[in-house]
Amino acid sequence: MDGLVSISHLLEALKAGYAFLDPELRIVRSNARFRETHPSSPSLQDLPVFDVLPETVGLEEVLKALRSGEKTSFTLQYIAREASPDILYLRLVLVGTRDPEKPVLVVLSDETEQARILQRVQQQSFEIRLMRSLLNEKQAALAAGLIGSSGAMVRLRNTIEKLSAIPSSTILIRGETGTGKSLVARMIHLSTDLRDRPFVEFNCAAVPESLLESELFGHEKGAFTHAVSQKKGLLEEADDGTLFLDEIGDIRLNLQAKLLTVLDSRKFRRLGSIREINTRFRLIAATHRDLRSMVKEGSFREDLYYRIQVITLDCPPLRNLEDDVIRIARHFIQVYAREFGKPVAGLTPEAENKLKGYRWPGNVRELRNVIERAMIFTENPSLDSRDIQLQSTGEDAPVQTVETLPDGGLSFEELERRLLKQALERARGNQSRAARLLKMSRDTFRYRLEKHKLLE
Amino acid sequence: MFNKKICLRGEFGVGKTSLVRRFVHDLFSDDYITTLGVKVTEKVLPPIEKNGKPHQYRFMIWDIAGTEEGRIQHESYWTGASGALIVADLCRPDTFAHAKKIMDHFLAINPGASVVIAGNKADLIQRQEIAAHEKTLKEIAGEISRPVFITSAKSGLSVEESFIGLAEGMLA
Ligand SMILES: Nc1nc2c(ncn2[C@@H]2O[C@H](COP(=O)(O)OP(=O)(O)OP(=O)(O)O)[C@@H](O)[C@H]2O)c(=O)[nH]1
Ligand SMILES: Nc1ncnc2c1ncn2[C@@H]1O[C@H](COP(=O)(O)OP(=O)(O)O)[C@@H](O)[C@H]1O
Ligand SMILES: [Mg+2]
Ligand SMILES: [Mg+2]
Repeated sequence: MDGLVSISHLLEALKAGYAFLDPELRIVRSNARFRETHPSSPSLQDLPVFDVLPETVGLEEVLKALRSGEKTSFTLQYIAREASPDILYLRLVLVGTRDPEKPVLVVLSDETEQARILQRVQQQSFEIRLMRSLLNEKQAALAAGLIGSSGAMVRLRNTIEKLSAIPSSTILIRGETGTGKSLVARMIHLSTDLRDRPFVEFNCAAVPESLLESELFGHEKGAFTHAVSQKKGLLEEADDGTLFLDEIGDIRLNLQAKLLTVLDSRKFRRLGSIREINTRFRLIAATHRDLRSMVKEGSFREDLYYRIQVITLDCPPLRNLEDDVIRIARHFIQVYAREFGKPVAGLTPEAENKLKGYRWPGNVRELRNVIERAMIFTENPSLDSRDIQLQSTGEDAPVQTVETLPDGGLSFEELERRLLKQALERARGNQSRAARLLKMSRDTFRYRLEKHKLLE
Repeated sequence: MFNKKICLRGEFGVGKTSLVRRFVHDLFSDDYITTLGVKVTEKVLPPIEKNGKPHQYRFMIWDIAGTEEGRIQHESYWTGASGALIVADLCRPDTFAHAKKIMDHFLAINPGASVVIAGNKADLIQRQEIAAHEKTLKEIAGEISRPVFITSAKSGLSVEESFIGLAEGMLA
């Protein structure tokens, strides 16, 4: 337009979708990328922009101001769109052109990648804070704490109790996945005087390396590209409370060094700031990795290792806990019996044998899932061995066949649709739970729901 | 049919997305997936009578990312809204004050817009507690005489009523 480059070439090169609007705000020219965002109608020619982009409803005043030149542009960031199998995030920009035939330009660009990262970071912090605020209610449930009367479990509980008397020391919790490391960390926090202070839980393996540091230390506005506002780090949030760093073995060496400095000096700086902030917190770290051999390999700092392993707790794998498998299973049966309103009393002897004979690679978490699933499906007064579906035994896990193919054939699509709906109903709308019933990941499940238009 | 833009606002995790899902799709999930940015969903409301005449609205429902301690980001999301459902979490009384802040801010941008306050997650707290919380929310809303609904996205309690309340506010 200003003669240097054609706007449409520029926008194509930027991989943006665009459309021009006529004075009646109808679409008069658009590129393929723009039309992709509205796949239900092949041509958008002459359609009112309000029909094509529901986000523009209500923006009549803005559009008027763009046409009159009163305003030059208007931006909406991170507009989410369901796009199978995932969500797409778009940036919508409206620009006034001063061309009387085509007075407004609409530009759509893809921001999905950046949005996903931000979403994950916020998910971590919001989820923890929401849980913490509901902790009082959960506290009662947690009071049951670690179930089990095997020697290993009794020792673990005793140690936790002793630790309540020394509230400042650093603690390292080791154990396979699902053995109760997070539960133990929370119990330690609740058993000390820090009870009413923050418990800040952070899974170091769940956030990309590049964002770990700003999550921990916080940042000032503008410290890096995505730092749109100032933000407290977890070190600050945990002040006077407990910082629980799950999967600490997944932190890289340079951040390990910085963490060690904080532990020694009890001071740190936000990214982009020169001001030192004092902080006091109890560190509880957990990992399923063997830190000692990581030290030997050089992937974990020896000095940090010695700093955090002052007191070590081992969460034993479920297969070593003798009859605790049954005790814990009974506990979960009670929990789900209440939740689902099903009067299931316990386990038949065959079911008990089946549970005892299994290796439980996913430990208590896996046991909980197995019981949950059984409780959803069972019609029996006690869980039977056929209710118990184990993942990896190979033998003895008959695939429940739904039906044999009728002579006249059947609609596979319809069958899939019905199973999806049934799973959702049984799981009372909880998608993760429904996905587990069908032994698929939540993403796959959502993808299929979408395929059958069972999702928004 | 009138197309109207309405916004859901409130602290993170108060149940905005869940209220929209219940209202539009009649579904609920216990999972928490925080909303980033905004997601717009359409829903046609049942006709509303006013002076013997039926009025029908199509809502463009803006489910907007939650705030942290009432801090406002992305103000442009609010431009041109005819109404707002301001949501607080009955289990987290600290979200009440934030709701007030957000409501004031919204009305400054869209004076005259319809506003309804929802105290959500009623299924999680005791009856006696509800009455006290409702009173607090009514005090907040009462200053500008806007209606308060005690809702549960999980049980469906007063979810539709809240959205219809918004439409009625537009007719007033
Ligand atoms: N029991 C109960 N739980 C609810 C209710 N409404 C929402 N929740 C739960 O509260 C959590 C947060 O709900 P969301 O709807 O995602 O909250 P939101 O306000 O959209 O959160 P952000 O997008 O992060 O701002 C989820 O785990 C929901 O299942 C309710 O009425 N009752
Ligand atoms: N001994 C136990 N008694 C009762 N529940 C347990 C026990 N150990 C673990 N759990 C439960 O099992 C699940 C997995 O535990 P979690 O602490 O998340 O494991 P980890 O952090 O080691 O992966 C949680 O629901 C937890 O409450
Ligand atoms: Mg864990
Ligand atoms: Mg949401």
